[in-house]
Amino acid sequence: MSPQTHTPSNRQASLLEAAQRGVERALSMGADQSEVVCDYDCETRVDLQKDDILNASTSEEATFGVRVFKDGSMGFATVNDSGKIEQACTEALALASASPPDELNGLDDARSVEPVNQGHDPAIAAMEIGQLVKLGSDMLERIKKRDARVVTDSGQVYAVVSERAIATSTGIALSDARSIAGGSFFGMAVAEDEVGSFDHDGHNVLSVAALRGELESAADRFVIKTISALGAQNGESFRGPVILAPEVVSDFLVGNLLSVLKGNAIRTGKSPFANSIGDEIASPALTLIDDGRQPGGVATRAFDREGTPTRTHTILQNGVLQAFLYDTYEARAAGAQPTGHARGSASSPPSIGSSNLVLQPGSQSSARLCCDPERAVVVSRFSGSCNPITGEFSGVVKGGFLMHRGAKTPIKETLIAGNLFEAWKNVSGISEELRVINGTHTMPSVRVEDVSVTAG
Amino acid sequence: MPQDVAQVLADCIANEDGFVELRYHKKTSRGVSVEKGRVESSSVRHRAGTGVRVLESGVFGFASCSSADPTDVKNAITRARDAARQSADHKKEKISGLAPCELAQGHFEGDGVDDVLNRSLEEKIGLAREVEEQTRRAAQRVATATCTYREIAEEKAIVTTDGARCSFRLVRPEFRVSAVAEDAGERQISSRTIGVTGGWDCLFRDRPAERLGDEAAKTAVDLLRAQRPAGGRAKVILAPSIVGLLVHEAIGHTVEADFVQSGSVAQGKIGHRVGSDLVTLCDSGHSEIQDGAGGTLPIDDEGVPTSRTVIINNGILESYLHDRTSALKFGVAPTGSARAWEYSDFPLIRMRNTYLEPGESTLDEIIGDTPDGYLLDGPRNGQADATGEFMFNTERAWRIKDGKLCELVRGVTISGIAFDVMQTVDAVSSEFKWDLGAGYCGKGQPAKVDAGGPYVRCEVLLGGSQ
Repeated sequence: MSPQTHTPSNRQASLLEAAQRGVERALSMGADQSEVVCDYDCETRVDLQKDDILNASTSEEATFGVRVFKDGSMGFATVNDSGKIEQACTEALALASASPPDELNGLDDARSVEPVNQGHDPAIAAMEIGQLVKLGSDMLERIKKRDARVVTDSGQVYAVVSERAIATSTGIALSDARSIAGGSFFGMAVAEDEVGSFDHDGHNVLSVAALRGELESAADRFVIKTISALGAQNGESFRGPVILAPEVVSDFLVGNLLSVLKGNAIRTGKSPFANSIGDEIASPALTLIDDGRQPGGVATRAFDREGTPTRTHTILQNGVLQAFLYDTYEARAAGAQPTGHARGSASSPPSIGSSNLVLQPGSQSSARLCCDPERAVVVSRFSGSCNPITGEFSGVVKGGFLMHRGAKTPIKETLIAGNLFEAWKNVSGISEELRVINGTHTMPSVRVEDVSVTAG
Repeated sequence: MPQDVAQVLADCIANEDGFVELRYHKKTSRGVSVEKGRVESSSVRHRAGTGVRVLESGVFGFASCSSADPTDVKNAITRARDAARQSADHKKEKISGLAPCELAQGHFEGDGVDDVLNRSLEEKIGLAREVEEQTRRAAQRVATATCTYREIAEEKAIVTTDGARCSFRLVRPEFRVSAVAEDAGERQISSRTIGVTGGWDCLFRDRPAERLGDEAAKTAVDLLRAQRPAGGRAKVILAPSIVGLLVHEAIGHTVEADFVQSGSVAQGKIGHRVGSDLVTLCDSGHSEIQDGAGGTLPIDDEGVPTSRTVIINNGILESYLHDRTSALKFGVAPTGSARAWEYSDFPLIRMRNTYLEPGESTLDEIIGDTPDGYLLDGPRNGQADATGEFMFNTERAWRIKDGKLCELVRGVTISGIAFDVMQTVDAVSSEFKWDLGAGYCGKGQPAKVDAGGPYVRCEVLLGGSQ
């Protein structure tokens, strides 16, 4: 079974061979079931600091993660030396022996995995340090030319090649490879007597051809965000609408909701939505999809961390909860099928996570979304937290604006507070424009009603 | 043993020209997590390798390899030199050198390493299981509990062409317990965490593991009945954990010399008043005042012995935190603040143990002297900005009225501009505690840090209902 659409490299073949040898070794040492994941990563990177090159670096590493099951108990060990896979088997078995059994523990069966184009541009692997240094330097120059007040405190440009092999005693034997290039910029605007709020931007791509253009766009957004934060004034306290930028929708609104839609949150009673499949838990305007096979998605893969095939997974359809996210264990606990959401590297046991998330666009322009209410706060970045158990959130608005009858004023020292689960129901507008964030999340801007705003 | 690796590395650079720094780092992380009676994960992670940093043509080059084998290390030196050369034409401000200083020699052994490592897996897994079960059964309304034990054992060897040849071992155990209480569809969560640099006794020096679970269960149940406070400016007494967040997030980052050079609010403020007379703020590689601080380390990742750095002295900004590069530029001694998370990471300027010096009042006296305010404890998270503006979420807050502690309130967020808030400090307790030892600082790469201090009264913006 070979899901890749390109020819497996010699390295993939040797990783798979090492994984299969590890599986056999663990079984011979007494494991009832075993899984070995081998990851190889090669990174070329340039770090930026204080509007300058900080350093350039290269790294290369292979990691081997061994998971064993014995008498219903599980243990996991990982090493970064192929000569120590046997040691990892021994330690994983010792951990399993010291742990209590769980009848639901165990590996997934081998399933048919359909190939998917997950992006493996050989030109990324061929990128030289000098090319990345020049690219990083050009981006710093572009940022300064756009506005000399912007300071790039830190950042990076990179090219990473990753190859993976998974073998299990249940017959899974898979390998793949992917290449990602990208960069990010973090900093603030510094005027004569004022330091603006931090902000950042960046992007990941699957081809060298797209890299420069996407990084230029990210650099331009970084400039706009940091400069917009200058001249901030104290806002107003009120209860009313806030407009969340796509980055905030991704990190805050969607990210926190997903944490209570994972199988482990359902099983352990930490989700309020355990019995809500088929219920309307959000505004009917909201449809959320996690597409593990999205063409061009940076998180696109044919199979997950456990070797289970990925798929297109509708989570919310017109506000109605459609599905949870499962790995093998959680699916078994729920009496369901795994959904291909086991995530992680060879250096840790699998855990549940999403892939390419898409929140469907609405019909309003971003400008209308902001200007329609008489008074609203635009949240470009949210520096706060959300209690995933209760849904209560509070935090500081960053790079924010007070919109008052269409007039836009940058604000500082403004806190917002509310309840996340109520916020999903209180969505009153979704932008027609979408932003792809880091190549994995495609998000609109969203307006949420009835949020507490406290100004300093 | 890391001492032996130091010798191997020293041989690798014996014939190298210019500045070359080799840092071998072997890290072993063990962890067990138990939730609702199930061992969710029990794992061990071994990661070892050598990070190579060279200074050539006025720029750093970095490479790493996953061993201390001389062939691999020499190959990495070649790659690091190549990276530096390819960067040189684009480096605007060339690095003229590194600040001279007394570099570390010899081996340093942390407290409690063998104590923690020699304890059996059964004991560690058993403890997590017992405490999780006890927490879950502590109150009828506790619906679920989680308990996690984790330890990070580290061995390092650092050699440089300008004289460092040192090694050390240390261990940092951590323990976390959380309880979720539920009543009529309402849920609340409470957590207790501890983390130290040291042995088992040090980890549970304040209270036994079981008591942490009881405390979490009680708070989670109490929070079910708690109301949100009204938002607005308020007088607050910050517990050591929140003081730790404040001094780390809102001040510590702004005085890291790399960030100062980018234009943080601390730039140009050396010698200026940034706090009240009661504010003396330090960062130290040692565990000052109380043993076991979670960010303790004898030597930084440039081979510089760590020391205590007074950042604010009686309200006056006195020093930034430096590595050898920034120290040369500022004309000061390095503070031993260069840290790398793993062997493949480039060292950056980071905090270690950051704290406010204790004062002379007692907590009871400060509460008694507060007509209207809140006592805040239990950090949930915190972030700060280039402007010094910070935001912290706290788990528990008690209303203070007429000098007496009153009802518990929940969902309290505080915000302010750090140096402005420091100016409002008008009472500092004699009680002192390290209380963020289970925390990790993020700055492109994680770092194990600790922070703490006394109880401190000041004025902040409180987020709440409108």
